[in-house]
Amino acid sequence: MKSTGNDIVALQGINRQRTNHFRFYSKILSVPEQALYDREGFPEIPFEKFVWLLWSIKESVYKYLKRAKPGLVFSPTKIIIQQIDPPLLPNITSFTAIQWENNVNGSGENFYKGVIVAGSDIFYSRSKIHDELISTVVSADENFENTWWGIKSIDHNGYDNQSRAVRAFILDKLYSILPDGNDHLRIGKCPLGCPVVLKEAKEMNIPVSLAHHGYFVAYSFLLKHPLLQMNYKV
Amino acid sequence: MTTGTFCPWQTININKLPAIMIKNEINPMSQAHSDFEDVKAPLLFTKDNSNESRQEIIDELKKVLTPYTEDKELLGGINEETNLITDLKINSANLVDIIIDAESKYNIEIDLDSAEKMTNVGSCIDVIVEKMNLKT
Repeated sequence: MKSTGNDIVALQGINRQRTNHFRFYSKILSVPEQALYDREGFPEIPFEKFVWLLWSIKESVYKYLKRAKPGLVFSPTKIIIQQIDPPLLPNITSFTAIQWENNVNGSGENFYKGVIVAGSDIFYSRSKIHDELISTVVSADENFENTWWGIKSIDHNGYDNQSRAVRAFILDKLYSILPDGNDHLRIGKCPLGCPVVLKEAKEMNIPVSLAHHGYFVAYSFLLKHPLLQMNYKV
Repeated sequence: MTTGTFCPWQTININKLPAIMIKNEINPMSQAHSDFEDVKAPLLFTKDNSNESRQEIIDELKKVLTPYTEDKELLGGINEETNLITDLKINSANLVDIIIDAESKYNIEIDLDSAEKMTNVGSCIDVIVEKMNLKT
């Protein structure tokens, strides 16, 4: 299955006190996942950030899978995070850039890296944690080959603005890397509700995933770099 | 006028109780136990699943959903088909909040299998009614 999934959590929009309550986090994390926090050692992040880190991973996997399984219901505890490793040099900083974009595999960033099992599928995650946000992208490819990922801060929250901003953000990126001739693209939705890239009303073979929360938007998409795929077709 | 002690800090007028509580002879001397201070709503006990009681739950559910949707006008017109995410534009990060708030409001426990069914207003009502019936 060729797909992608990403999620973003604006930490300003979460209730820290509530997140730390067993009644809350037990609806997201299984007991073994709760134990990962102590076992793996995350001194740089408080428990509530750990909860939302794992939430963002699970939501990303759900988005990945939903593209192929339209009736899929998001059930956080059925997406099992087996392993989550902090970066070698964890350093949580403010998201000072207006936007950040990269090809996941080639970035050399210090990501939080996870391994996830959902049914018979295995996924891998890469997450960025800042003071203000947690952003995750997942792939079935351990090397995240051809996975693109971007995060951007926006001036106004609200659903309509977030929706416009994330679509403009991903289209800007696509225009910058697709060969000439790929004009007038737009982001639509397939009948199953997943976002798709449309060129003259035809769906392009580029799986995309969009996320927004608070004053942040994020995308991921799967695309072999055009320099290696010059004859890209609809 | 009959009054009853509702909880140590609140007295209610039984004549002003929702009709469904009177009709079903529900003991109003109960209060939703909440671990969260932002939820202190009187319980609406119901033994049946009639249209009337479902409508009353919708009315209460609107109050639960209000903090999590920006489109209050849309919230006013919800029905059982209304989807929490695609129609009300509720961020998925708030879904657990809604489940917790519903638990507190109705003094029920919503297990994980039931929680995953709560995607639209009708399924939320189904789960709430099911869990409330388990208590009676």
